[in-house]
Amino acid sequence: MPRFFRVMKKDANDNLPVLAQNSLGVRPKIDVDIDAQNNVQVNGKGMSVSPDWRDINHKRIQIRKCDVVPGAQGSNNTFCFRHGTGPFVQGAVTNDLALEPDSATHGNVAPVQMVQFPTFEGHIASTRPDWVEDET
Amino acid sequence: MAARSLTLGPSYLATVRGAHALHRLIAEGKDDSPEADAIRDASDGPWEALSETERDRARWVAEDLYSIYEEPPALQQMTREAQSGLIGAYEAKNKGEWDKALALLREWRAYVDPALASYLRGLIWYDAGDRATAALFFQHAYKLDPNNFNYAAMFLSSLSSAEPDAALIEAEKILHDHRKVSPVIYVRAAEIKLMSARLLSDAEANRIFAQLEPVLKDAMYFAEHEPKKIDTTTVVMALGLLAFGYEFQGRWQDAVDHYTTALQLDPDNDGLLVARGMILYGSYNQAIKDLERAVQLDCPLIWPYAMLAHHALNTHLYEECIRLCEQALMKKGSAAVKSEILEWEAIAQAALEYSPGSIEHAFEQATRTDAANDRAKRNLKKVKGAPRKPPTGYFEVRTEAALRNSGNAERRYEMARA
Repeated sequence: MPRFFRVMKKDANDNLPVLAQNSLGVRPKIDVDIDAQNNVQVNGKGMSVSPDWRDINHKRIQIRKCDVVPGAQGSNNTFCFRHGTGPFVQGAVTNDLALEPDSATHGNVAPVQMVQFPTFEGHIASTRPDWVEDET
Repeated sequence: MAARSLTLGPSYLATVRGAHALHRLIAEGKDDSPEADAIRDASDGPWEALSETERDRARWVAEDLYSIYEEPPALQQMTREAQSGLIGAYEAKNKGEWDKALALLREWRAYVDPALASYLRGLIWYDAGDRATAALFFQHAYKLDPNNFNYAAMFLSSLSSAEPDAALIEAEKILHDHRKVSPVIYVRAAEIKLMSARLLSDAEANRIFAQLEPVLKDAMYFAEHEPKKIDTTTVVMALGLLAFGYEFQGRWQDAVDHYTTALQLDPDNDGLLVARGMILYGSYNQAIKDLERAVQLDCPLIWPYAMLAHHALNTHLYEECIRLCEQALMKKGSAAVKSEILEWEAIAQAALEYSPGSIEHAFEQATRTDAANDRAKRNLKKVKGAPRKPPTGYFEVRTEAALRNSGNAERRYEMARA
């Protein structure tokens, strides 16, 4: 399973990512394309991730990490989470999700087949226990 | 040779402008606000489009911007190593090695007065071509040291180039009570105000100039009575603005007198030479000398080449006319001006007995360049039945006075728009 990172809000109760469109989740019609029947299109779009948290847009890296990433401008209320252990290449994340890299420093966690938007949100949410905070 | 500025693509500029906006929110304690999140969301797309070099540059801009909002490091005693590093930064800037210059300045900033460090960062970004980032650093330098007029002058200059509306607001604040600040600052504010008003209407420009004239005359008072309080560049700028304003009012003699005084202080100022040369064109020989000097100075404006081409045509120096037309056509200019220059080139070709095909082609180009040029259309018709060597006056050419009037109007408009 490919390894990737994403900056998300943390639930203080279990130290796992908060489920939300701007945390562990996707924004409909922005991060994914949706048809008239509310189906998520299978076109490589999905939840944005990076192979290393240092590759993430510096505006999302927490201000407290300025000593590691110059110009970090992200909210200090977010955290870098890691998922998986394998190389950052196209491949299955779960039975329903795949990593679709679009460059060496960015990719999307996308549906493997056309599903209703709430179903896709559920598939993303199902990965929640597998995320680990990692800012090393 | 001047160092080449950076090519700043739209994704890079969007990323850096986003960093500016986010820094403002962070400084206000709104780093976790919906506005901040909206900026971050909008910045992901441009970020993905950046090369690694651009990403590094954008990260470091954002990092350096923290110096504007945070307490500066304690000033260290200058060492030989630090001095060498800062000289290296200056040399890198002069060579156009912008990232290296910024990195060296960052490394040794603790050895430089914080206001000077921001001013130097501003200068690097100004020359590198990012005037909006430069304006932020110059503004910071000015805030830390309001008595250094260079900081204020560069702040206004970069702001005027990057964000004209914001520059006008700053200028109006300064002009509201101009005697509180140095003439170095209020003359630049007057320039911003006058140039912005010019784009509204001639009447508005006249009204604004009536307000600015006493301000500029205050600066001239300093030049005459307390010259230590004002530098030559500012005096020349004040004289140029007064002359520019008098042109709008049709006070030609006053305009020429002020341009002349300014040229005594700055004889190789091509903008002033062109302005005076164009006002005097057709009336005084000095005009030709001014325009020729501007050409020698490799003036980037189209006007000295165009006016001298017209003069060469009228004085039957046809080869010279063609050479000047070619030079003029390589400069930036309106379709109307370029169309007329193409006509002169065609007429000079006819006088030199070029092939009828070549002459006709030049007139056709003139009509295509400006479809509203009816004179070029009439000249094109005449070329069909023209004798091998048409007599002087066979083709229509505007008089010196007509060219002077329209040329000056267009020059003033372009100056205000620049």
